[in-house]
Amino acid sequence: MKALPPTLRVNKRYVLCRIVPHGIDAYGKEVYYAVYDAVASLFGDNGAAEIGMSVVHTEGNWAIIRCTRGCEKQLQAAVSTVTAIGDMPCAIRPVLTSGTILTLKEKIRAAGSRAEGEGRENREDSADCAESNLLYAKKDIIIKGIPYRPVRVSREKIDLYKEGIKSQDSLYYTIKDIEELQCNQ
Amino acid sequence: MTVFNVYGVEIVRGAVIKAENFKDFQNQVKKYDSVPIVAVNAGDNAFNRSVLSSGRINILKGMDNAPKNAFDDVCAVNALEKSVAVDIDLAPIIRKRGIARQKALAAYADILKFHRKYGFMLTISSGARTYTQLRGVREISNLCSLFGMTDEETTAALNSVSALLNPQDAVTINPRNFGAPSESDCPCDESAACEESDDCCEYDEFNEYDEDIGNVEDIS
Repeated sequence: MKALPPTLRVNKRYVLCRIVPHGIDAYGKEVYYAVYDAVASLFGDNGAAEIGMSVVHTEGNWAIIRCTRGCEKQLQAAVSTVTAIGDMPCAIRPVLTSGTILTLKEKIRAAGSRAEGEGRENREDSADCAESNLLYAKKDIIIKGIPYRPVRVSREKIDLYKEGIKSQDSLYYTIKDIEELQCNQ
Repeated sequence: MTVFNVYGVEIVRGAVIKAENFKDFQNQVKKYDSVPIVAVNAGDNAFNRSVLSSGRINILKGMDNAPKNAFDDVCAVNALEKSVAVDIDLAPIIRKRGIARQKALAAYADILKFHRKYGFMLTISSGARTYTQLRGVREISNLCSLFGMTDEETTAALNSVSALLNPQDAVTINPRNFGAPSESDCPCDESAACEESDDCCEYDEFNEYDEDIGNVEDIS
């Protein structure tokens, strides 16, 4: 069968997505199933067919998803409703839309080099940093009179460490959380 | 202290009241007089009307769980008069599937219709309990477009929390600063000695300043 000429081909757009939390190396197939489930449940089979999504590339915690031109916003909305990939609870955040895969791959490389540079800077500042992906803040924050050192693990998660003895405190538990914890015990 | 600032992120103290009926609400709301943001879970139509007209709450939330016709035009007018915002919780859209999500989308579309007609405030919340459930502005905008909200409306709704914290009041103008000084205010008489005194010179400067900034009518 003869291939369609370029003018008759369906135009596509590529959406770069970041998978959070950092460190989840999801396979393309798992990402595809998660996103397709979200698209199909939100827009139905007809909408999913119109969007025509497919995962074309995954690299670390990045994924490039293809869709029909004009359906980018629908795809991004559907991607925002993904709550888990496989059994792993996570979120997929759409970052950039482009007409070529190359642009998005460059963006991935740029983000990777920036993260490495940031990590190196912080490693130089903090001699205590044992793991490479821990970023220590320079300033403490004080909650109820007790100073805590914020430590950013990967990109989004932030832990608060108490100065001195490494004890653990529950800082922001709601009543509902406490009830849930009690039920689970 | 009710507003915390951690690395440029403002955390505002708030309370959510879940009441069975209006009497229960009245008993509970007394405890939260000092809390800047008080939200109430919506109930049936009569409950919502009573709560909105009480003027003691800031946000009416949980409209996706409320029965059908729980929010009508009377509620919308009450919300506008008492500056109460209606919350659009994105958690049911993100986490629920099937009929529950369809109901939530239908409920939010109804609220949006009333918002466009009556102009009461909307707030948008992600209902996040972990950081993976948090959503960014563009994601919220995309999710809100599912029930017909435009980008401008989404931005306005995201900014409405600051409007709740700093409610609009009528402009009060201090006549001492803006009004033209009357003759009785001048401590001096219209005498030759007075023209040379320092006090009157100050008043002359004061009048020039008034002309620069315009009169009271222009400002109001």
